[in-house]
Amino acid sequence: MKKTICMLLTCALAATALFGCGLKEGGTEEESYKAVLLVPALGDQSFYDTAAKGMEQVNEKMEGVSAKVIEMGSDESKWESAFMDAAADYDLIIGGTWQSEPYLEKAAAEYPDKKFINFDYDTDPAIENIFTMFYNTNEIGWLSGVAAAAASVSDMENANEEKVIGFIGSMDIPGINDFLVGYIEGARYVEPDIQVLTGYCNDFYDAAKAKELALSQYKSGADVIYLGAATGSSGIVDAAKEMGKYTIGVDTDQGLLYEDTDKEKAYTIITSGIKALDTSIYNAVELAKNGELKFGTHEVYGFDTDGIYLAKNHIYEEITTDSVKEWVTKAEEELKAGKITVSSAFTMSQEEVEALREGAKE
Amino acid sequence: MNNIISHIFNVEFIGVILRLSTPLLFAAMGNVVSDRAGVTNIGMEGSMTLAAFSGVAISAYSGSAWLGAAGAVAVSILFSCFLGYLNLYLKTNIIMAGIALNTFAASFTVFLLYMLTGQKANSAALASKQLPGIRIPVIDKIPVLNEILSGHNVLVYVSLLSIAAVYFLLNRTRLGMHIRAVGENETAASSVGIRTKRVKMAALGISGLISGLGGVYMSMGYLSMFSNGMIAGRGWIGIAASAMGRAKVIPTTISAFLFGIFDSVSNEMQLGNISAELIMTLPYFAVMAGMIIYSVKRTKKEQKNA
Amino acid sequence: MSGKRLELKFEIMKTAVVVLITLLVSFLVFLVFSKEPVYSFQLLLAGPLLSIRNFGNVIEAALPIAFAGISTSLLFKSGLFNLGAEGIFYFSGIVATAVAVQPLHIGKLQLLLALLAAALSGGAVASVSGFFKAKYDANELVISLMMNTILYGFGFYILKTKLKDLDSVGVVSLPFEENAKLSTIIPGTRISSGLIILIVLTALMWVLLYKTKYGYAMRITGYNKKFAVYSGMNFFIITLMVHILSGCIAGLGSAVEILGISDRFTWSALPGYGFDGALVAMIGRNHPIGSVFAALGLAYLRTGCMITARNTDVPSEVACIVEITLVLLITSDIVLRRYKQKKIMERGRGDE
Repeated sequence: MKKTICMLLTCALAATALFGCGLKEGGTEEESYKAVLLVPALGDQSFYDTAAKGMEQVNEKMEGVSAKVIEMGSDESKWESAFMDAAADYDLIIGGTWQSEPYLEKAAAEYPDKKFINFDYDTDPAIENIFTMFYNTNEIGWLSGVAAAAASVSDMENANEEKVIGFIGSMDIPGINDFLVGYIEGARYVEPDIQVLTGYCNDFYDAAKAKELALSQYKSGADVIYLGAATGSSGIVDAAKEMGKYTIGVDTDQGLLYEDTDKEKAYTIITSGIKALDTSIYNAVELAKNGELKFGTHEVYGFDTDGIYLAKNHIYEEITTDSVKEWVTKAEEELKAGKITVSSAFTMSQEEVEALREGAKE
Repeated sequence: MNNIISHIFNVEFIGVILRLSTPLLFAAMGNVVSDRAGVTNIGMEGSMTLAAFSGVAISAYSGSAWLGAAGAVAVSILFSCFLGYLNLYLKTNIIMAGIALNTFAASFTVFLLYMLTGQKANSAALASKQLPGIRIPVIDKIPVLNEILSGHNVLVYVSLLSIAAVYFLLNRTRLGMHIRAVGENETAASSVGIRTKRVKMAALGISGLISGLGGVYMSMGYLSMFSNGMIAGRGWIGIAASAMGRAKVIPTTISAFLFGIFDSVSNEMQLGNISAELIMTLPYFAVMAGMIIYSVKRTKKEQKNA
Repeated sequence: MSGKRLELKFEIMKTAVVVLITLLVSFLVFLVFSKEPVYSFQLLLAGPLLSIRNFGNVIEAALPIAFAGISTSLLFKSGLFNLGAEGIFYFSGIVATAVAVQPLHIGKLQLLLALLAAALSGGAVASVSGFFKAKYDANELVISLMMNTILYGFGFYILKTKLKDLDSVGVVSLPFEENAKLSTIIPGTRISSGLIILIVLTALMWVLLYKTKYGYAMRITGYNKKFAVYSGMNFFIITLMVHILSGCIAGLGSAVEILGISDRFTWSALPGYGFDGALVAMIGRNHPIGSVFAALGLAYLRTGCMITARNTDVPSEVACIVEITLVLLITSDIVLRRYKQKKIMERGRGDE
């Protein structure tokens, strides 16, 4: 008797499932322009979260456009089908970085009538209906390096005598090293003899390891460390608070992030080098909806186009001395005027990056 | 290079090692208790993660660090006992149950984090509390010793005490004797009236308690927040340490510290020129080498005695 | 009904009941968390069947896990507890990449060479834990776990310095030569001829384990090591051979995965197939064919989860609670235990 009931139940469930094949789609309105952003995962508090914020703003402020964010998970082999499905269901498909590019291209080739954007890719698009945007992450690093070095040699409360600053990255890869290369050069712009210590966590999340690396760097004389360790960066901020030193944030305004819960931590973050992913995605979606986005081309957002900038929030105003503010202003002017060329890890080989890195440790 | 050497051969470095090895010690001691009873607490990584998260959440909402720690330990004990229930009463293979529970803990903590803070990366939005550091009264006055021994977080000292506590438990208490009996020969133990299931359950519960402290340390002592993935394999190192130490207190402690020492050294070495990925393998090499050397010695000894 | 047939019947019934319970649990979970629970649930169950591409995803996902499963099941069957498939997958992948990116101009032979190199490197790596286990009874769990990280560190270093494509922005290898890639056998999907390799391998393993005396020796060693030794089986050789063989299989699986699906090597972290392999090996009761089916089942479930998470408002963590429930229940022996015992008693009393 029990067995029969079991069998019947299974059949019933199976039947519902099969019936479902013909059923409605999840609720989207009919008339709107449908845009979708595909990310591996949300929650990094910087890169992908900012991009998602851009889509949120689309939903809040733009008329006639509906924006959705899809988390694909970290298993890349699933991404191709994610992009294909998205291309089938949406009008505008957005993905980011070199990781998603191959899948964007495949989907774009398969669906020539749909439009695609890669919001963080360094090369011209290979296919007509893709638009690629890039940011000069090396410029973010450069400006951060200027701020860090200026702070280190200044009379700021917790700055020390030694001309040493630090950089802790998640992994030793070009995507992160691009910040590093700029950081080193920016620091040298202010102080040619400055020493830059570096360390990597070898993953994107081990906050405890990041903390140990930071403690070690602070003990070696660094007074400012760059928060390049993705989710692990919270460990560096911890170390900064413990040792009474400074940090520089990246991708989003990390100072404001800590403000409500831990003022001391917030005040260790002199400034953050921000990639205006949200505004650029918002703008791109708007242009695309109006049919004005130049697909098939590539645009780079740098400091001169406000694609990146240093966060000058009230923390920055309060804790930096005039000398720091002057250096930053001067550096920004020269960068905007095109007088500075910043190297990029994307065009350097691993050996060259290493040489630069090791050279900065002397 | 000079920088690195000066850091390592410095009494302060012993403090670094202690600090870094604390979670490993907790994990290892927790495993000693359960291994001795014949159940490997494969779910250790998960229980530590849950404990780390619970401590942060409870302390943020209650305003008390101690309440947070207590709550976290309770959660960890429950988790480990659930593993025990799955294995002992529902007859699930313990390895699989453990791995499944680990996966569950990893996803569940992210989910709860998202529910409570709207973010998935870390608990910066929660005003969680931290457990205090302690200065030991007399030692604090002694010049060199005070750098090494005093001023650490309270849980660092607790982890050292746990070594003694586990030793005492296993060798001087009735429960410890039962644990060892069940671990050595379950049928014999049950034949003299020992309730083997209860003993194993108790062992897992104690294992959960100790490892829970390890999780609490991560988010409330070492760092001051919960970060997604922060346990980063320390539970597994604890399992490996206990396996290497054959579930005996002293050898396991040595194994745990072996990893801790090399991990600390490898962090310092990042100040130098070698590539980060290669440096990362150092502590693992150390443990593997230790394991091999130990096994070779033991086999030779057995052959000699045979 | 013979004992074996009875066992099999119970396994199938138990699986069906467990699947049922899991579905109920996930439906309840969806009711709580989703605004469209019925739709989510339907997607979960039938999503993978909605298109060729979706079903293809299931097979593609199952392939590497199946290889890892067979590899691990061999070890488990012989009583060895080694979780080193993870590191081997990564490192053998690098080895296969190293071969596949060279412009060798030897036609399809390059593919064969890459596969072979991957398999051999996997075997070589595994022989380390095998040797120390065989000769000195070193705990292979510890050694294999350590090796995983070590292999990853070295592998990634090699990728970064020697194999990296300088024109590309990320840490990926140079593109594979055309001749080094496996061809897709079912259009509209990415299923490669690796599937055929898997089927052949599974058959070979089954023959080895159940029809040869070596396989017999392996199984007996797994059941009772002392008995095996007393019967004259050479523990050293068996342990070493099992390790090497399982390492070769894992290495082969890695090569099949990357040469079948991608244009270049892109892993910047351990892929996670090792633990999945252990899981499916256990679900499949350490039997090669069982492991393959378990891998298929797991892949189906995961694909369903993913489709649900992608298309509805159910967060991905919740959708995949399903997987865990299933895993926990399926390995538990308590399900249907009373029923099973009743049947065994009946048989014992000679009712059939």
